Amino acid sequence: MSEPNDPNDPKHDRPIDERMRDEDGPPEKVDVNAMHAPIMREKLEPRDGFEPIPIWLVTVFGALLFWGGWYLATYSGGWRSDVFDEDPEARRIVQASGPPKPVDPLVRGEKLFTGNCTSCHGVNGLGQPGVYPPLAGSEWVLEHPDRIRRILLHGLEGPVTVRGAMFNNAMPAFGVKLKDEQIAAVLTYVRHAWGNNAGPITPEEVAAARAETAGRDVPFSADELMGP
Amino acid sequence: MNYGPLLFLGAFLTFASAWLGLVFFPAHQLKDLQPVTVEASAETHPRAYSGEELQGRAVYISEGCVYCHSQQSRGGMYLADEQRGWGRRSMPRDYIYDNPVLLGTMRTGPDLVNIGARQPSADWHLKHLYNPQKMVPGSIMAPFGFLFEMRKIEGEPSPDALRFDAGWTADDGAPAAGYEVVPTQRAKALVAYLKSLDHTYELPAANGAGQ
Amino acid sequence: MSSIPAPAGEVAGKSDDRLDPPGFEMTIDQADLAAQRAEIDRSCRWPVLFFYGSATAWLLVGTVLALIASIKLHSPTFLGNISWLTFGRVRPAHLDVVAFGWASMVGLGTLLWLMCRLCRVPLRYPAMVVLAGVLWNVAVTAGTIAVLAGQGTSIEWIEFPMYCTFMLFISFALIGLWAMLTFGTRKEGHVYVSQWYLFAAVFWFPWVYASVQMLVVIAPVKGVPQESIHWWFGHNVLGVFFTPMGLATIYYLIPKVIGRPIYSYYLSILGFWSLALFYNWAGAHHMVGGPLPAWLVTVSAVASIMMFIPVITTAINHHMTTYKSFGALQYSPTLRFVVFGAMMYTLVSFQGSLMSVRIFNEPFHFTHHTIAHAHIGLYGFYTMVMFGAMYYIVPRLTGREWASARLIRVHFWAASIGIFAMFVTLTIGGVIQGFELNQASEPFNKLVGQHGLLDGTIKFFEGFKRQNGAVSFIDVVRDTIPWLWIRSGTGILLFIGHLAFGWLVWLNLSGRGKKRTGPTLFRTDPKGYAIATGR
Repeated sequence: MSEPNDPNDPKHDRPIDERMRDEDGPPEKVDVNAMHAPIMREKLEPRDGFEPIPIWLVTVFGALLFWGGWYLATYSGGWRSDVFDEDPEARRIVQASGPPKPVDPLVRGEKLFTGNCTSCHGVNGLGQPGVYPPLAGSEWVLEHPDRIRRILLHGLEGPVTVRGAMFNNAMPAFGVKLKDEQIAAVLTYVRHAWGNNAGPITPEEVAAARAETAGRDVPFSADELMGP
Repeated sequence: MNYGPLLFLGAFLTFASAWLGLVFFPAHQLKDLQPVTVEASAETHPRAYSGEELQGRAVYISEGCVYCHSQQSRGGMYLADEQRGWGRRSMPRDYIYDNPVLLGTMRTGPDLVNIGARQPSADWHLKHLYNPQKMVPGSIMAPFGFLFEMRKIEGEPSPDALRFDAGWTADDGAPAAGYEVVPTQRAKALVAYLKSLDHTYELPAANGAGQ
Repeated sequence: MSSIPAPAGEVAGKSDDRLDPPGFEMTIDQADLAAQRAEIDRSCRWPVLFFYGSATAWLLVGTVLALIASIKLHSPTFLGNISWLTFGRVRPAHLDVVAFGWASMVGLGTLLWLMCRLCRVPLRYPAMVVLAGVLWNVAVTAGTIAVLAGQGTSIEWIEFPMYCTFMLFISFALIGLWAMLTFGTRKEGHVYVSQWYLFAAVFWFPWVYASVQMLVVIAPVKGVPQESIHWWFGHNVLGVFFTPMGLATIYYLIPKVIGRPIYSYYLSILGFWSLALFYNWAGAHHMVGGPLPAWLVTVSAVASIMMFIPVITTAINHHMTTYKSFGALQYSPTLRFVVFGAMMYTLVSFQGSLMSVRIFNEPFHFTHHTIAHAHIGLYGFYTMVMFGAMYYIVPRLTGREWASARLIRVHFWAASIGIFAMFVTLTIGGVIQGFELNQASEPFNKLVGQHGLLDGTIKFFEGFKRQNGAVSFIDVVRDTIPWLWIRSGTGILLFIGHLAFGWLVWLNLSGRGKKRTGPTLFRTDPKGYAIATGR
């Protein structure tokens, strides 16, 4: 860093206006009165001290680097583009499982329910007050298997009373998206979960309901389903 | 640290390493993803967007939906997303037709990657865009009434007109007698896009078994 | 010998004992340096004040947009159904105005002045720099209007349409060119630590910006790699543009105001290179759990934890430089803002490193917790440091002191309390939101309403299960609303601070307000200030 009064500077003992002179142009007189008070009172420009780096800091950083290296080695999924979940434990279990075993309809029904129904009817089948009807303890679920088969196939729109509470919303149809055995599985699950204890629904029953209502392309209303 | 070129070299190398790691290699690893055909149903997934769906995607972008809604279901240890009914773990192949990819970073509103499967009713979507607070009490979603037109019924009512039941009052936006609420093309396109968001098809398993 | 007339009110060679410690003699050489600095400041005047004035105006615009967005989150029908004010447009408009309008311009203005001071040369080619500033203003204005009109790209941090990004790029290229030319003609051999950071910012930012524009907007790569590139950019805007400018400013202003050297040159080197190495690998921590290969997320998580190294290093360096002079915080507005900012840098970085690890990311991703982090970083750290910079630099450019210490006090307390309260509010709200989305079995507000605060909280945690989607989404939303209301309140506090600041800047730039001869300090006993900053 050049010292303010550096003896190696050839101009160091010349007047200030000469030192500030632009190399090429005429000398500019610097009027010190024009120097503003804030600049006059400033301290020196910032400079560096030279304290050494503490050893404990180096140790901590070394430990961090070691951890980083271990983490990289363990959780990088072999640097593959098709490994998304870093936990090798989970992967080992997935790869070790054999051919698929026949699935209990309740288990299958629960998976389908989770994937299709929980966003409105809730994980606990309680729905949402005033918005989506509950399935737990619902008379529609427990006592009217024919109605719920039709609702799953073609949807339900408009006012409906469930467990004494009024709802007025639109449930989409699942008849296209889900096959008969899937609808049977999810209905079986719903009739058996959260304290519900009604009998299963078979794929044949769903197929029959589908045939009966073939050609229908609008959702049911509650009145239609409860009708004579 | 006083030598300019050395400073430059160091800044260049450190930065170039990250450019390689986060920009070049992921693009290189994932550049060849193609849709797959699922044997059981002979369907190809994912499918490209139709024209109207792309129009709708442009509306999604224009209205900034991504600032409240994500479009990715997390997997691995984050199975709460799947438990919540938002769908199976999203994978890179699901997004090959998305441009730009709109993964989103906020869940002020629910995730939408499978909204087309969870809520296929166009009528619900239109009414929800029109007055979200009426369709989902307690919702903080912005109302998009400006995507709709309230107009006098000329002759026959429009087939697109929203059908309101008795629960909707004038305050909620229900039209007076002789008037109808019709979605603009932007609203219809947006709903077409939302209905197309369905990634519930199964892809070949990930985690080392190919994707 | 010198032919300089004595400065008014002082005898050449006699110390100004109002502000200098006893025994410090103002030598003729110090007067030389002061004259040199005066010439530099005179040359910087119009360009830097143009950037600063523009930045202040953008700050006020950005704060109004922020308030609108914040209110809409808990009261969605506020100004509802107006297309150009819908939340999805106002929120990105706010982000772009505060990032590219306020933060970029105040940083670039400070960069101009710091480069000139540290190179010990006056600002050359002012036309180049002012043109850059004009282009930048035009780009941000056009871009903000475009976003509000629905022409935004919905890619966070790069919402501006193409015509704006070209203008920003040309503008930035001009600044980069200017920086290289200035550095090439420097009269100071030793390259001080601030300059390393400023150079890094000037070099790295165009590279990130060009990359993301090319690979995500102009000729997009297919699919999710876009998001990897996007968030590599998004994180680097903070990490290699704003952070270096903020750190450069802290490294200059703290030793300058208190008159002590930086504690350790070696810590400065370690801090700089470890930041250069680790910061820009951290981008994929924005996508943990997302549809990307595991290695990418792992690499970014490791880099994010490694960031403890530069952050702790810098914190020690700053703290050991300052701790004997904490008394000066009672006096100097600059120091107060800058030290607050430096402390927030440590806080936000620790928070960020922890949030990148998968176990913490699971509940906090996608929540308001992320917003708390963003604000305490860009505002609590960067903006507060830049407020300090403006409080120091503007009087040197205009020759006028700040009109009112009381207004500075209002600004400081409104800003510091406002941002810290916002951070706490959104952190608590975000934590509740995140736990309800991922682990909780019942909503927090309901349990507290039923069982009281302590028992309700205990029951909330007792109901935790891994991967639990039991709480319905609308209940999660409901539970965040009280915190969003409080956040709007903290936003109003920030707005008050900004009004005070804007008024002070206006008074100073326009020459109105009380004329002062001494610095505008919080306390008016200069001897105490001298002792506080003495050796």
